[in-house]
Amino acid sequence: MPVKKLLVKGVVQGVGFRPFVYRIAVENHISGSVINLGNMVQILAAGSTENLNSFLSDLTTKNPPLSRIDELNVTDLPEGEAAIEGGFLILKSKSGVSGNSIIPPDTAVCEECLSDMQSPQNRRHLYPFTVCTNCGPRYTTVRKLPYDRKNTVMDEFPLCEACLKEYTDVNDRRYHAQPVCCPTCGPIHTFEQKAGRKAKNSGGDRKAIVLASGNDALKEAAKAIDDGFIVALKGDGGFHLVCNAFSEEAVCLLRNRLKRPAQPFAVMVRNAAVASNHTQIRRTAGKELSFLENVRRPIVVCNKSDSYALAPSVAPKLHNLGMMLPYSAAHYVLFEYLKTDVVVMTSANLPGLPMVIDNDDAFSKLSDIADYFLFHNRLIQNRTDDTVIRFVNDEPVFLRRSRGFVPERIVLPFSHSKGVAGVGAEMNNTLSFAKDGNIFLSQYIGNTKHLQTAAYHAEAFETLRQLTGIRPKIIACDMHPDFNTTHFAKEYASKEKAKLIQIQHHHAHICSVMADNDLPLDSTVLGIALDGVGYGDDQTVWGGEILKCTYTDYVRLSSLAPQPMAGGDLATKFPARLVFGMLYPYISDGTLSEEDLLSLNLFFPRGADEAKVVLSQLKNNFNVAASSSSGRVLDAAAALLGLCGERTFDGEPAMLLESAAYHGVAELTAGSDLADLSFLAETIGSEIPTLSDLSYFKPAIQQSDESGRLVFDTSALLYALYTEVIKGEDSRFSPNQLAALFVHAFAEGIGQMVLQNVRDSGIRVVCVSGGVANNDYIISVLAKMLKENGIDLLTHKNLPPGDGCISHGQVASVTARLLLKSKKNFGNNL
Amino acid sequence: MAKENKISMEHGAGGQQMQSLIGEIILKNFTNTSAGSVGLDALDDGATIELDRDFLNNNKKAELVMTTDSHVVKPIFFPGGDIGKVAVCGAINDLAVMGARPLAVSSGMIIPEGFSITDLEKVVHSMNDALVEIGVPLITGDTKTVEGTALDSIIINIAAIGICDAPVRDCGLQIGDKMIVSGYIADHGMALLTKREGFEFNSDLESDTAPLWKMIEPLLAVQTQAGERAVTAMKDPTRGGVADSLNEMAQKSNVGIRIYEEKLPIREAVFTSCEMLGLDPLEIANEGKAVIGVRPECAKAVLKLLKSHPYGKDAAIIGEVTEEKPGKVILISELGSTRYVDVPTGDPIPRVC
Ligand SMILES: [Fe+3]
Ligand SMILES: [Mg+2]
Ligand SMILES: [Zn+2]
Ligand SMILES: [Zn+2]
Repeated sequence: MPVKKLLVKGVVQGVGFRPFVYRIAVENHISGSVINLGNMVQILAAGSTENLNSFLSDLTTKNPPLSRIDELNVTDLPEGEAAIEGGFLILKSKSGVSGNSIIPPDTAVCEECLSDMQSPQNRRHLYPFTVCTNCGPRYTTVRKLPYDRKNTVMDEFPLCEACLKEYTDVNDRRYHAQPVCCPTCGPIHTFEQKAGRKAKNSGGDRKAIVLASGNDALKEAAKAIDDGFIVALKGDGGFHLVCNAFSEEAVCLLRNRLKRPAQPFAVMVRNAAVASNHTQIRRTAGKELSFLENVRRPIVVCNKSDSYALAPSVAPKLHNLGMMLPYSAAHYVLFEYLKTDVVVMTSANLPGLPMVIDNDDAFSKLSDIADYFLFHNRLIQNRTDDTVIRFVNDEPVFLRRSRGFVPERIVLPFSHSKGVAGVGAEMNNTLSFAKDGNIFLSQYIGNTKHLQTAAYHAEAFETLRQLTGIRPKIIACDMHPDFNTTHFAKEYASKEKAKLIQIQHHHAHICSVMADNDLPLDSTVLGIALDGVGYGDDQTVWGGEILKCTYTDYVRLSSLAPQPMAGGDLATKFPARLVFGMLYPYISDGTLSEEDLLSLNLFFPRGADEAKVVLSQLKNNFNVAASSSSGRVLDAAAALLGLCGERTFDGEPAMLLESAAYHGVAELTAGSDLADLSFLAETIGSEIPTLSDLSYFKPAIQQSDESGRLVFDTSALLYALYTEVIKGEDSRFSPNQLAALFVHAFAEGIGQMVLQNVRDSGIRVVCVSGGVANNDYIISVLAKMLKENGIDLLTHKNLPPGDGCISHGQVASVTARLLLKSKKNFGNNL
Repeated sequence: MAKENKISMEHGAGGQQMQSLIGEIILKNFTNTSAGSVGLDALDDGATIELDRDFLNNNKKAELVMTTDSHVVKPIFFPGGDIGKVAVCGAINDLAVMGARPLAVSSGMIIPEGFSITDLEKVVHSMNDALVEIGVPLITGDTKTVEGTALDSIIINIAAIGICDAPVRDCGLQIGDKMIVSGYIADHGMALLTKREGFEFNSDLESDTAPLWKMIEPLLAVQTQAGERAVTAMKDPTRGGVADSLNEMAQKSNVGIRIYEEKLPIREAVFTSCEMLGLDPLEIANEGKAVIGVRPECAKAVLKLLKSHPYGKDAAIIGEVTEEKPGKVILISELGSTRYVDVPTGDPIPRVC
């Protein structure tokens, strides 16, 4: 009888793969064995040629829903090589062999489990930890490989007799499902309150009062939420803060306690129908609804609809809303008891710090925020924030890639056997390990400027190193000298005798989008990097760049004009400083007076005195940084239009500007009479424009004297906006319309710069990355301009365009450097 | 990347660039740099000279301490002082934070052609006032003039010599020590730049320039029950501010320092003006302050003594010395987040995206 050895790589652990192999082996009369080798599966199969063929075909076509075969390696063994006699065995796991998959991500509870939970006869009726082989938490529970119960947080819950029977029955859906449990043996919820919470000043007893446990805990939590209280809810990957999304009072209370005046909250909706009530979610295949309902259960950002009826403070002043469906069994149970159809569900963390995952920690950190705590007694091993997806230029884009996706591998278009790591940048950070053509990207980490978050970064680095078995000999970091991740990489390099490579921020952005589009190793592209801040190789700050790029090298061909940031990062927080900075050249040349700027009455926390100080700062060039950031230009426009005086969360001014532009476009085009817009033609001096062509402001692109670069004069653009803003009521445009015209012109300016570079360089592969690539309007205009010139704008597919992609770009670049090391002349052709 | 091979203003700003200039260009090229327990290599506030025991004919352990400092200040007259007062106080305070009683000072002046003699006399008066306050003589000096084009203002160098039993070192911090700052921080730097840059803050910022010996002298006598000196380390946070001093002390002592944002003594007006300019008060210069490490059991006693002196009346315990992150200074914000206090680099490098 022929014998075959099969090595299966892919997502084959913790997804019921071995019992599946067992079942199809029995069905096809195959004898042999299956074993889990750390992160791949080995099958020895003996049978007739016919049976073996049918077995192989079943293996690749009928595999379990959460599994994925990336690589199948079949070799013939001499007959009798392996002692395979009588039957098929599932052997005990071994570790230590390297493959390309680690552990599957967490997914939503499956239909079968849901029906178990809904059946009053079932022993898991409304049990909030119901799972099976095909669903539930995975990555969040794993301590180390191999993925066995003893290596997960479930080791504290010995299986009861009934569960053990399921766990050991190869024909059961819960066979070797590591998180399996039931009301008898599994984790349990408690509903608690901190004693003395109301009498805070008494300083006395602040210990816990357990108000309810088991399903009563969920019932009480639901009641508290319906009654307008704030509940801290422990989930699979961290704590959420939950309140009724219809209650303006509850939402405002949460905002006040969190000190988050405006950052949009994500919501969890009972079902898709509810989502449709409040947003313009699209049901077409591949659009928003399919993501909302996907087992990975990301937060999906959709435009609000006219019937939007949630509390105004859920996502104030924004035209869109982030929603998700229940994903854990506990969420479903909670909705069973909730009267409201929508709850705010926001990560429980202090600004910039990691999400709380521990009960005691929650008690001490969240007791001034939450009225009640819905705890359970299962540990959270790997903190994982929710993933966020939105549509940009009608394509799905990650704003954050985390739960449901991590730690799934991302394939690199080229491969090197050396293990490398990238530690990312600073804000919205992730880290990456790469080896053999696979990249393992960490969950979302956050802002590593805070030492608590930097510690979490170090912890996640260790976890990923453990799970992948990669010991990086090369470590990549950003060029910024002050980032904690830079310090971390330097320390790692000296401790582990690894090589350190510092990669320019925007080069990493472009490498990431290149690899994300499977561009081959020898590609040369024009990369558009649009973001908030990245340290340039000239020690100034960049963020609106066009780079001629390979994976290993770059030349900065064009950029936005460097603009003064009076007070450094202070100008990011209070964007009026940027308005003054960008318009200052018009004071220097006498076009404007200081009085003109002061009379704009822009927001400065210390009023007119501060406004004058900022002018002297600019005049004396005192504590002024220079930045070609595109984020800052959008911030300035938002401030000048009165949309945002103080940034209270990342990206706030630019988001408000985008929302205003969204409404502005609607206003400008709703009139529908083309003749109404004929004045646009006067200003652009050509035929009557189309409604989609909102060219009113004309971006100015010039060759810069000093650098020889092509530079986009963003001061001129902001000045054009200024001349409309000061008309006040006399302007023919509303602020929303001006926002649309400005954003349009900004995108057009970038587009013109790109097209000039395309003509000059002959390179027609163009890609875009950076946080501004999350801006639907800008990317849509840009893509359209390029399309008209026969160029497809390449955007991110599997990674967030923001700084969450930096670590990915870093390892892509380092891997390319390894591969091209021998080809000496490469990179010199730029 | 090729580095510009010229001196820039950052090289004199007291931050990282100055440290590397001193390390790579100056320190490296002097071969004989020690005359006692503290030499040039220590880059402490001053250096010691071991006294010849036989000559002294007694066994008391004592060392001379010497320091030198050149001053260029723009503008030379500012609210709360002038270049003369700063020059004297700078030298005296360097001795004081070494734990040394000042014995005498010298003065070297380089004056540009065209400099006002009235102004010169004013400067000399304030030098004398500061010296009289602490009873220290000026015993030798030198004066040079240069062409007007070579220099746009007066330069004053003061060398000072003092004596101590055992110097207080920057490297003496021990785990558990409390960190004290002797009063409101950043006054000098903010007063100066307000005047220089002409910012209108609507407030009267004044430099804190003051000779600290009389304030520090009694602290040196405080002892633990075991008879050890309570003060373990001391610096005067001039250029680079408290941030620079704390980092130097943490590095040289190989310990971590934690400080608490809400405990930092900062005047409202200073806080406001820093906020308007985007400056960190921790990085701004002081000319009449000391940063002091004290054994924890004596912290209250030392604080009390400090507060009883006019120059120390606003002193505060701002943090403590820890085992974690040796060589690093950690700031705990009022909201509970923590970050490193970096060594000031001079120009701001934005990092918020
Ligand atoms: Fe970026
Ligand atoms: Mg000292
Ligand atoms: Zn299931
Ligand atoms: Zn059970």
